[in-house]
Amino acid sequence: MFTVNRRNFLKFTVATAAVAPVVGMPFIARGAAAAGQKVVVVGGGPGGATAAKYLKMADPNLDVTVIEASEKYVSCFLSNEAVIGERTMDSLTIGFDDLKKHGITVVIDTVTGIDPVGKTVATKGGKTYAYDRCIVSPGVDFKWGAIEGYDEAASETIPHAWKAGPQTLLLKKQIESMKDGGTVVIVAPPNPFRCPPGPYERASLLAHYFKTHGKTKSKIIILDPKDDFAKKGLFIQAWTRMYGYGTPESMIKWVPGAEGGKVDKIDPKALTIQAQTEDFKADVLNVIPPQKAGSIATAAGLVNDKGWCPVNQKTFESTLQAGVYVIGDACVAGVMPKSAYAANSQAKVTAAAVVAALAGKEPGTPSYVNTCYSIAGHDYGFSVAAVYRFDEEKKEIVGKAEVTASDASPVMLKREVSYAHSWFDNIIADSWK
Amino acid sequence: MLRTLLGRALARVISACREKGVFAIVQTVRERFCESFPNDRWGMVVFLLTQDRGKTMRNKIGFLVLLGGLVVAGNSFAADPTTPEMLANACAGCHGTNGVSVGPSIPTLAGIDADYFTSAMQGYKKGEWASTVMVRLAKPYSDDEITAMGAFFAKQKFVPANQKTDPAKAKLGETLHNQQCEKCHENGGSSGEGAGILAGQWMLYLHATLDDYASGTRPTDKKMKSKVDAVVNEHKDTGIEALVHFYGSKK
Repeated sequence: MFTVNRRNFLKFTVATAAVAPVVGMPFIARGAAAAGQKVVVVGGGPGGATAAKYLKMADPNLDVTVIEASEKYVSCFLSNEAVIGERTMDSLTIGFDDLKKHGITVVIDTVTGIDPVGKTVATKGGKTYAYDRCIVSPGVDFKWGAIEGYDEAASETIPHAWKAGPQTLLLKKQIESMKDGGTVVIVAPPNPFRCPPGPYERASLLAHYFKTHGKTKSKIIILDPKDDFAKKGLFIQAWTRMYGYGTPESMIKWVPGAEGGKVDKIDPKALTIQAQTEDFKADVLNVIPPQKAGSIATAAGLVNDKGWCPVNQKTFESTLQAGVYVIGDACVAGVMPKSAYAANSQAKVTAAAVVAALAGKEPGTPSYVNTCYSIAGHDYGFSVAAVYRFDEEKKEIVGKAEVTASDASPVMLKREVSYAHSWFDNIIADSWK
Repeated sequence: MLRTLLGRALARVISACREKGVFAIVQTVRERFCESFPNDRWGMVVFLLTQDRGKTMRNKIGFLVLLGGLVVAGNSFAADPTTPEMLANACAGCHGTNGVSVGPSIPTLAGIDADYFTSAMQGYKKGEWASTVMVRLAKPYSDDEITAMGAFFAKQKFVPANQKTDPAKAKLGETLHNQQCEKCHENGGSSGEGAGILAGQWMLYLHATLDDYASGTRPTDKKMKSKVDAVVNEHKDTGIEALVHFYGSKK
């Protein structure tokens, strides 16, 4: 018989006090996700591959499938080195065999639609893949036609080289065959876009290439709709030190928006460029068009009116479609830039959030990192780096990105080149191996 | 009868809360259990319930207050501390998965001595150690987070770097190591209290680090500095190169 004495009364009270709110709350299960729960990852770039790998590392019971359109991924990061022949295309090309060793299924097919209600992904190959959670890492697509005269057809002769592969090689070929004294015009995109320092690194490495290949009379003109760009101070310093910037002989000329750098129209046959206050004529023209989230994001109803994917920045779950997470260049991630490192870091946060969600748990507190190197010349590199956090009040990713000190010694600038290359080795291995 | 008992118990809880301060107690509970239940407050409550707490009345009441505090505090908790995995995984983009680097200028962190990790991160954080990105990446982490990351990397398996070495250089390096370094960097540089793993570490990284010790841009204790100086005074860069090849040759 149960008699209430002080001792077991307290036990009873403890139980009541603790159980009542637990019952009142949605029941939260403990432990790993049920075996065989399915995660479909759309896109095998640094975001998608990393997400798949870290999902498996966190919970080997998960059934993880990556659907990627290309047999191999060609890295856009460090592809500026390939443009000037200092890196092979092979070194930028990554297969999916190592990813499969983690127990991940890799399907080469193009995703045509995502049904967030039926929780299925459909492909061009006619297959349907059911999922419990879907992670989309579609990268960017171009707003063709935003610059009059520049569309997908024009890109066959006028490279953007902003997605690596044949485009990188096309630009390389044109640069190599350009005569000394020729002019390269780079049309830079408006914010936001993939790899913010990329166009300026490209200009730097082209100047380095011309300087070291007996084409010292060649020029690079950057036509920019913006008045500022990533690591601007460091680029200008590097150009001044190495390429005569600020003198009449400067190999590089940057035309900001305020000075008419915005390009309205190009003639792809004549290679003429109509900017806001002046017309230019190029021997090699490189147009990096305005960007938006990869097209599958639009098809799946994941984009806002600006063409990017709004997400809960703590988990990367889409704010438009429940159960679908968007990471990498396509998502709106507070102050994080659109870089491979950012995609890799976001992938780990989303993998942890997906594992938690499938186990019925609340997501943990995230932490994100981005480090991005730029190489401006021989033994001359610099970087931007930051640790990012989720601000619970602003509901946004916050962080303070800091660049290399302007008084960094030559030894340190040289080391940054070496770190850029080792970073490349590690990000490839951490994402795909 | 029951109502009287309940009322009396509640009064005790309230007075205990007043005495100890609910939130201080909740804080204690969080600190103690957050490692086991990093993101799962209700799991923590269930865990506490299953524990046979102290035998005395005072402990029973304390326990009740803990639970009550947890429940009351509910969603007013600040964000849960970030897990060591979450913090450490963000480093892997540069330092490799689980801290095993495959890039020759970036050190492997796996298997690192946790105290050495902390002193390195604090050195970067304060700007006392020469660095490029690390001063910027160490700064935002709290002391607790640095400790957590150090403990995480210390638990990972060290994998020696796959790199080419020159046997002649490595041989001189072995001699120099035995003369100057073995006392602290024991077992050919594979262990040592408060020291990094040198044996099997990436040579480009080791070379840059030894250069920094030699130039004084990475401060160290007098003993270490005198040893590095001894090597450099006698052999110049050849000595550093030899040590690097010796460590690099260890598998």
